[in-house]
Amino acid sequence: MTDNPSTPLIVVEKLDKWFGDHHVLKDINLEVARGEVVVVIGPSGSGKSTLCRCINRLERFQKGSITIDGATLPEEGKELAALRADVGMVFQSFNLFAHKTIVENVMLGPVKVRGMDRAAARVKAMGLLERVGIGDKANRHPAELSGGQQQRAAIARALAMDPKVMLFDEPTSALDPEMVNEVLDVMLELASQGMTMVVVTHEMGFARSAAKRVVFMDDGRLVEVATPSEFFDNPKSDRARDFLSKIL
Amino acid sequence: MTSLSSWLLDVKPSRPGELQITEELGPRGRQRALIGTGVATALVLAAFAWIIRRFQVKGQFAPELWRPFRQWAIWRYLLLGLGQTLKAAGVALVFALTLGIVLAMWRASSPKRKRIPATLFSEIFRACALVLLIKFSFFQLPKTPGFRGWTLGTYAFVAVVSGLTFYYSTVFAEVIRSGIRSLPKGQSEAALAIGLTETRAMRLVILPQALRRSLPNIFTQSASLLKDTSLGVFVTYSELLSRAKIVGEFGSNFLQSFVVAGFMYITVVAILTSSANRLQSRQARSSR
Repeated sequence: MTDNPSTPLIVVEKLDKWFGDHHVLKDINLEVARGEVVVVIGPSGSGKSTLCRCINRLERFQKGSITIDGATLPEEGKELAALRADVGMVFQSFNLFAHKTIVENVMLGPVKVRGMDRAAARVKAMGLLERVGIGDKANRHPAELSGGQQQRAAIARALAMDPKVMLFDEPTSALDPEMVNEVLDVMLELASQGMTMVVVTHEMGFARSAAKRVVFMDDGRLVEVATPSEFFDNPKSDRARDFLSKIL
Repeated sequence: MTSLSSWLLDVKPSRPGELQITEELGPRGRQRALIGTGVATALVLAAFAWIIRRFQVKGQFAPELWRPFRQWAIWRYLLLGLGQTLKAAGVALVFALTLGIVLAMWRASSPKRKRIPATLFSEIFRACALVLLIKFSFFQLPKTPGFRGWTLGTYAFVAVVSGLTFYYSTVFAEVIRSGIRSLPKGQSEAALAIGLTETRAMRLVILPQALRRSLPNIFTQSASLLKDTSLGVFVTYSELLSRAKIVGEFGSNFLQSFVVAGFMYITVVAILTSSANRLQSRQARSSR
């Protein structure tokens, strides 16, 4: 493990992935620097979620390599679990543990993976829940919360592991419109505090205000990588122009 | 009559979160339901009446055939048998559930070295007639080194328990495995994403939820397990049915003894079922 601030935190090199015959990721090369917020956008089926899931190996890939903080992604077992502990993940469908209360959801990782004692983990979890604005829901079960609250709890659960990077896989796509902003606000705050983030999203407003770089994917390829202002005001590729004309 | 019909046709009030498939009936539906209920009730009553009639014709209500059941000693003998039934069922339930959980976990896990043996074990013992497993254990145990020199009663008990354990572990494994499968994939992904290994994700996140979902089925199968202790009759295990048979031999009143034993089984299973229902409705209230 290197902690050299000049080396990129995530390096994706020549990544190829197939689902059966379907070539979903084609020769992906991408670097994410420490403290950088990269937003991945693109039409559905473009492979952006798959790329995000490859970074902590929830999806296996056939060719290429991914390194995180200088270490190559282990293939399996305890080493892979240890790496995943350092990579926070937020899912489209929240995926809170349904049998545990909100605070227990947040405590599980610190207690079972980091070996923290329960009292300390609870204090930490409560702090994080306050930070995302749902301290009063700590003892509820996930099903009793609104979608926006559940997603904020899921963010707190990921943060409890003190991750080096946070992956967001369409975090607001399953939310009712009025709840999108409460989640985006939490993400904006995280970004402003210097968290390294890879965000797959359809929220162009978020991409514009929070992203350092925007990655546009189509049909399994990285078509364009640019700053938000370059990308939104002056997209270079036809496909990006076409995509933007449909959604903006 | 109207109050009886409205009582019969009352749709069960829905509780929040409970699947509701009965819709309130319309006028024609009410009429049809009333007729159907009437016919069905009449048929059931007729069947009972016929049985009672046959009993009378054959003289099965003769007081001397029922007289033994006015003695405490007979009841005590049968109740002790019921105790043996419950003992074998309880011990087998603990072993079968434990083994069933392990089998289900192994079958749901990814490495082949766990999945294949668990699958083989399940398929073989689930396909085997339970009575064969019990008899096989009973006749093989005394010949097996390390198991020699026990009393006959112990052999019988161990045979019943091990037969039930082997068979019901595969049944419970199947029930729990379908509970595991019914969980959204996101649950295990989220568990892996916070850095749990596959085994710990299973133990801490998947299994607790799967067990809760399979609880109704586990209770149903436990009731079957309890009744299947009666196969102990084939290996001289002195449980309720064996003792009812002995009482019947002694007083030449098999039928009466079996009726009494039958009611004892029904009572125990009814208690089990009602406590299962209570547990479930409490659980439904507490979560979601």
